[in-house]
Amino acid sequence: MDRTMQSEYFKKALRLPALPAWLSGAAWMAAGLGILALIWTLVALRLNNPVLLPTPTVVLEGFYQLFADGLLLKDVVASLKRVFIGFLIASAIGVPLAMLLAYFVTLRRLILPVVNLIRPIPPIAWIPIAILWFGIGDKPSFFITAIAAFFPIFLNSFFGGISVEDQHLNAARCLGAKKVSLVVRIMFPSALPMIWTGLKIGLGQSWMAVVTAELIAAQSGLGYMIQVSRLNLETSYVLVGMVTIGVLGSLMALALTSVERYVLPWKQK
Amino acid sequence: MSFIGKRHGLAETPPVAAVAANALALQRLKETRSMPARQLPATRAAQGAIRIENVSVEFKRNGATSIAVKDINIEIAAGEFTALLGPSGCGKSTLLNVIGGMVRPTRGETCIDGMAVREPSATCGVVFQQHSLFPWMTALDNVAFGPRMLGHEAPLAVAREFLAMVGLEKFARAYPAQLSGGMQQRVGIARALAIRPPVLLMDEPFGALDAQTRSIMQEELLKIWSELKTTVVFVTHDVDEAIFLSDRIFVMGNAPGCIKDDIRVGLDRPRTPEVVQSPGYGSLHRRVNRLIREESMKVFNGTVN
Ligand SMILES: Nc1ncnc2c1ncn2[C@@H]1O[C@H](COP(=O)(O)OP(=O)(O)OP(=O)(O)O)[C@@H](O)[C@H]1O
Ligand SMILES: [Mg+2]
Repeated sequence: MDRTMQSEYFKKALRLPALPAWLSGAAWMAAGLGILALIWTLVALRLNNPVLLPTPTVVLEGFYQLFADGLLLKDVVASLKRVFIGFLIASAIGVPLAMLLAYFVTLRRLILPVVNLIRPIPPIAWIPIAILWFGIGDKPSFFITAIAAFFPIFLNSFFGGISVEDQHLNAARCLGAKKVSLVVRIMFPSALPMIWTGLKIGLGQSWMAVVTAELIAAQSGLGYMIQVSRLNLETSYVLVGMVTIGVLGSLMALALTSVERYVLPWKQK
Repeated sequence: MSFIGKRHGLAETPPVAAVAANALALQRLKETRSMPARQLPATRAAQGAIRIENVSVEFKRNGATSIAVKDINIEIAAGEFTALLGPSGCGKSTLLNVIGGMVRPTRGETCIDGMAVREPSATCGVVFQQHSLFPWMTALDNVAFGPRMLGHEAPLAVAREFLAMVGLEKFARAYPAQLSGGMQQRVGIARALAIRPPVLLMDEPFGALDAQTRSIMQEELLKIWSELKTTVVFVTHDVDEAIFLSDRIFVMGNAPGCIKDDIRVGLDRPRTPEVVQSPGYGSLHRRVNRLIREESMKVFNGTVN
């Protein structure tokens, strides 16, 4: 055994068993959150004003109260429903429309300028008109979450669609494919990686927009809860709402990432 | 109208014609399926005759037109194995794409079995130089795509048969990215053959392979061709490859692309690598080589832009 092998051997013998990847990831996350909680606590104690910033323990208490009461769950469900329905509407319109515009030039010339004109209008600017059209409640929120999700979904799908390779289209034609098959079986799957990116971004946008919509146009949901709690100076509930929004948003992103390998099996290494 | 069609300057054919072409292709596919080669119906042999009449292709580049190929006239008999041989840039791919309907000629016309070629269709199987497999489909689904498009009732069975023919049945479930370059090329060949096209167009299909794999693939291709008896147009710039494979070699020249010579290869079939030692081979090789060298030197010496 030469020297380097020897030292390798001892290193191996002495090393602690390696943590599995997810466990070490969780450990780092816990550490990061711990630091955040620590700073938060210190600042809150220094301020000593629960209306401006309650300590994490007070917020946890508030979380427990709202949870035990069933109120939190109700609001979460209301918000989630609005996000998913808006997101589904946006996907159902955005993806097919993008594929059609990517394939048919005439349609693209007609519709793309309109899309570009509407795109810079932020979701929040749609809220007044959404209230006028749909009143207060679920419907205007569906509208707002759909608007927010639509543009990232549509634009990513569209660029995915137009970047389909000519060679693939020609190969498919030489194998007997006609228009519909070319769009559905060639353009769509070759755009799917970008469509998927669009869906991920769209879901995130939609989740942000639901809170905005509920601040004004609804009487339930996490956004509404935050707004009411602020009026009642229940800052701990405001923070409960915010933390819940953050956690659920991250979980959604995580969920989409974790099913990616089933959606894009050919992209896996 | 589709932008893709426009980009290539293709006109849309009426759907009726397209449907008829597909029906014909499917009928062909059914007729010949799992039928031993020797029992193929006599009518089969008459399919895949190519006629290229006064074809010229011009490309517009930054406002200027450049002529890729000019006044090409070729007739290829059904079932013939032909090679397009020429230096880089002489328009081999362009001519091949005209036959396949991927490029619309500026002047002239191409007919396959008397029918004018207007757009890519199932009449021509095409094996591209590289990267033409659908990356989102497994090898099996890639090969099954054609039969599926033509409405065959058992596309997967057909696909398995053809994957086996190129020796890749074990890799049916692999995605193209998981296959080596040579394997991908074999899947590409199986995919083009799986619809039993009257014409098989191959654009330097073995260009990216090492010498050994290449030689094996050439022999395999000849075996498959002798079974299916499709017309083959094979683009290459390798003289040995052209002679080894073909009945006929069209030597192409440069600026603008044209047919310099039409050489019949009289060597016996079936051919093995030992064909190099047969009496006719040396003189044929020298003749073709001289032609190619002349053309390549022209480009090199700048007589050509
Ligand atoms: N889409 C295009 N637009 C403009 N010019 C083109 C286009 N396709 C080909 N050409 C030109 O036409 C000529 C012939 O090209 P082609 O690809 O047919 O040559 P080739 O013989 O296949 O060459 P290689 O052996 O290198 O593949 C070249 O001068 C090329 O620049
Ligand atoms: Mg070429």
